[in-house]
Amino acid sequence: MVSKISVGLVLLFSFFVSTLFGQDFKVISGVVKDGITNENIIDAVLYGDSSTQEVSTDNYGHFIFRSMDRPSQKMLVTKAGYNLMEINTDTFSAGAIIYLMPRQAARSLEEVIVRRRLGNKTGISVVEIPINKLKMLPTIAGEVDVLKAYQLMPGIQGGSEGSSGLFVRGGSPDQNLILIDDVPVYNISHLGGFLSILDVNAVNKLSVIKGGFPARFGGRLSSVVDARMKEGNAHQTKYKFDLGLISTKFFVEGPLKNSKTKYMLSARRFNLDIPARILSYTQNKGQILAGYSFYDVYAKITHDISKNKKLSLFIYNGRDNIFLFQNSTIDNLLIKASTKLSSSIKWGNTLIGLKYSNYIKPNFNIATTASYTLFKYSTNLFSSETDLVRNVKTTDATFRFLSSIRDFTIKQELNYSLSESLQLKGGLVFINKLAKPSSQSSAYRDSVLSYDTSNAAAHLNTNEAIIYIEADKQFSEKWKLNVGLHVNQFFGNRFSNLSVQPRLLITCKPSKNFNSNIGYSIMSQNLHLLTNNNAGLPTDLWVPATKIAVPSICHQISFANNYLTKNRYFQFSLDMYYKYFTHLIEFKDGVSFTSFQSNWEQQIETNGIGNAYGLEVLAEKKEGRLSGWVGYTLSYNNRKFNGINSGKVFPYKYDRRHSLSVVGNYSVSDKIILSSAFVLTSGFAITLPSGSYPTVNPANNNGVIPNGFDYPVLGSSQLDKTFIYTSRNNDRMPLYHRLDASITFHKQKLRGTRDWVISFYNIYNKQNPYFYYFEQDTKTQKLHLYQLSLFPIIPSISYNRSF
Amino acid sequence: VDTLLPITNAKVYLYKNDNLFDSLIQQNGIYYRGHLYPDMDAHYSLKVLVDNKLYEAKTFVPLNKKLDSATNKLNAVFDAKQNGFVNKLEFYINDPAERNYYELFYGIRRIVYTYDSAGFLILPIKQIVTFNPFTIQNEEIYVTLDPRIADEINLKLFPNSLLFSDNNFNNSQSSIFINGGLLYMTDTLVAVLRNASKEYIDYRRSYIEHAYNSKLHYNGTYKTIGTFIFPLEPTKMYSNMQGGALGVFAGYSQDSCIIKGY
Repeated sequence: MVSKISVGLVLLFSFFVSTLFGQDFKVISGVVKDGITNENIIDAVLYGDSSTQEVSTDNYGHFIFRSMDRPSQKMLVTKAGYNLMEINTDTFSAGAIIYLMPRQAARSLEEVIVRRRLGNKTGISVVEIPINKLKMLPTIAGEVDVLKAYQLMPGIQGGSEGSSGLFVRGGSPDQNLILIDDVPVYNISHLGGFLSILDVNAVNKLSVIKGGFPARFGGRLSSVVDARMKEGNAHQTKYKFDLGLISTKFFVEGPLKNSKTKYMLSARRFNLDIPARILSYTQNKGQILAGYSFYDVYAKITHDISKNKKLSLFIYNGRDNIFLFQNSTIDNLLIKASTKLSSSIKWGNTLIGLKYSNYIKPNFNIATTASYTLFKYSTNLFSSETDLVRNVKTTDATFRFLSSIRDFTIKQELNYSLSESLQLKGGLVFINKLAKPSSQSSAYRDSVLSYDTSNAAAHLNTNEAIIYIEADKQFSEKWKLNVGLHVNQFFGNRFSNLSVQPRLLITCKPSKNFNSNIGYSIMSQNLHLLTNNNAGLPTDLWVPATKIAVPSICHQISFANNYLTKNRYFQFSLDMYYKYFTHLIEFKDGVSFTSFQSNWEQQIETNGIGNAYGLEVLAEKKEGRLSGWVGYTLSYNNRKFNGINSGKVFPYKYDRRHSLSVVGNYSVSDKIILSSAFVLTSGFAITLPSGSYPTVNPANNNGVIPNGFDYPVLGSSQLDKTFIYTSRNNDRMPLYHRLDASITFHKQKLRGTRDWVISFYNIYNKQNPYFYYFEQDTKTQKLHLYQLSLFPIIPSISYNRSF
Repeated sequence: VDTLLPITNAKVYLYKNDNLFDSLIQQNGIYYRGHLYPDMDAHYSLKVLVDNKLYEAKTFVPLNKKLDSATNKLNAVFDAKQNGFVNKLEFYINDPAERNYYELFYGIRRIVYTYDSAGFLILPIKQIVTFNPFTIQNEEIYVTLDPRIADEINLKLFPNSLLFSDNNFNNSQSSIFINGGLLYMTDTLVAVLRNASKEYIDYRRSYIEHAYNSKLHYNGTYKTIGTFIFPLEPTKMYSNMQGGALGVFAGYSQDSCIIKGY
């Protein structure tokens, strides 16, 4: 199979080379930059006014455009949020820079015309919401969450209420490859998923690829979340300050010494622990303090070594912290002592990425990236007691639990435009991964009870060597092909695996306004997440593939159609997909991460299979005073494991049949913007009992209890009813729906802008279920099912100031 | 959740080594009870006839493994600074060659002193018995188990007993230990050891998982934030009834002892 695919690819490449010559085109190349900040613009669209050809700038803002070699040909350059630029190709010199002016900085009558000339970018199953549009969406307690905005698009769903985890086309959150400036991230969530770590101030561009994956991406089954951070303003220093209900943010960007070096720094801190600390000190003099906090810091520095060479360093650090401090005193006839208890749960990511890019020729560039990523979770408990009479420490105990995963990655990319219609991409990647799923240590005053498993705990060290090649061939004005191969050699942990993953994407563009794509891809994942709930909790444990838990594989075929109306105000999309998963893992029935004591491989079901298929419809009004979209997804999502549900197929927990989202933004004037988002989805699949029967607790019999121990119960009575479960996920939670709305008062100040944002999350206070549990009525002894809802209506106000 | 209604027209028979042993009589409209105590080292089967349909289950009652307070001991290290003993309970098992399954209940009788606001002792002094000290969440970190049984026990599921097999000490005279936390001078320990059939152990394991995973909060034991944010998949209760019925028929024998370490 593999060799046939390889032969097929060689033939295809030969065919590409044979079609390079004999066509009447002119090739122009250059860079597109922001006219204000001088920052290179990613994904700016360039198209000819009389042809269907359309190209976009790469991740460094560079482009190569093929124009008909005729006099007075025009090339149009645009990007959402920028004015359209029209260029005569006769006067365009190779390597020139095109400056696009941001729309808010150039409000003029021309804008109306510009809006009507927006380009139609080709692609399959790629979702991208421009950051300026994303900022207009309703906020959650004053905070715009980047990933939550993407949950409003078809094919991308959120998990439990409040979760910012992404469930893309039937996949789970661990199946998303999340890249921030090419550095992979393991835990994307703050506060159990309420917010993501992506700070909207620092993000330049974010796209989610749901299917038709190019060969340069790999390592996860379901999606690629590709975030590119801002490089900074090369002309002047700019500040931004946001004060919201739950977080305070500060952003600064500017040049260093000269415009060749620029920087960006963005910091964010959780606010709500501050009132908790104040209350603690005023009410109990700081004796008890409990709360939660997080912070994020992004920093990036970019240096243009020359016109074509660039070096950048990106650093991120973020931590979440749940803490409890308790000081108390014991004062009785026997003892007079003070006690201290300190407990914390901390988790967070550290990312470092160093990147060098060089355009050796306009049509040939290389990029080298070295990156480090670490996700760490720890539980710390410290307890001590001091005898105040003797002034000696009488108790001193510590307990620590650690879990971490770390990657070192070296990546070498090559992009070569062999001709005006054929681009080749290739790369070599080496990843060293070290997973430490669990290590514990404790120390007591008595050495009998002290232990430390940090040395004995599993250090799972694995390596991956990846090679990929990708060809992008424009056959004619109508037909385009992207074909590639991603080969991954995994080894380590006494296990090796070779995975050959072909990728194919065919695009047909019969007219300027319509394109149709079909794509096929195989993705493999050498990493598993041991989780019970997929809620993005830090307690989830990452483990590499082993002989028993072999890499998971996903085959996906997708078909997408996009239509942009002639006036370019509306865009309609219709996508269909089918995915087939193999070698999935799942906890055995009744096992949870809390059972993770020794051998995790014995706690899981392996070789699971699954399928997911569906249809996605998107109708989007892109421009005008009223903009927004309506998205609908019909999807099916099933799993099958030999040891679960008696080996029968069952609906996956996040199987949601219908999902509808309606998003609207209305600019009342330049100063007032109204925004709303409505979500309606089928409820989650859930396992509920179909009945119960009384249980005789075997610990509760009249066994041989020694004299003096006439206590009737051996152990607490835990259960007097046994539930009858017929099958996994046999029931559904009720329909989930919610409306969020916000109003923004925008003002242009002498220096910069000022925004007041009033927002309402869950405006009609719908009590959506997060979790179900049983409680017995103490009077009637009847069991009742209760639901726990997390978020009621949350009004908030935030103040944003840039200068 | 509807509870199934009891059946009152069933014929229930108990067989010992394939001979009729007892006929169970219906009581209170709910339970069927027998007259005789089962013997050890014998095979039993339960046959239930309802509307001409037969439901059947089998089990075995193993021999009792005597717990002897003379040979079982409590090694306690007095920690003056903690004002109590850190106990190490050791108990001896003369394990036979065949596969054996055990359940250990382990309880502490503790005298509790309470004081009024002026610091005077309030009488009478209370005695409380905790039968599952290893499931008290705050003390969980103090509990360590013999490595030969530790792999089989998950304290985080709030078990009210320790279930283990002789996987790691088969056919030997063994002493198993538990470090059960802090003891006070006046504490007394009781241990109950059950030598159980495979059906009994499967049922008890399933019972603990079922109780934990059913998200039952009504007795207070599970009302922790953990159960809300870490919801698990519910698990089916073990059943060894054949013929389409649900339930368990399982045998065990038990012995107990009191251990005073001080």
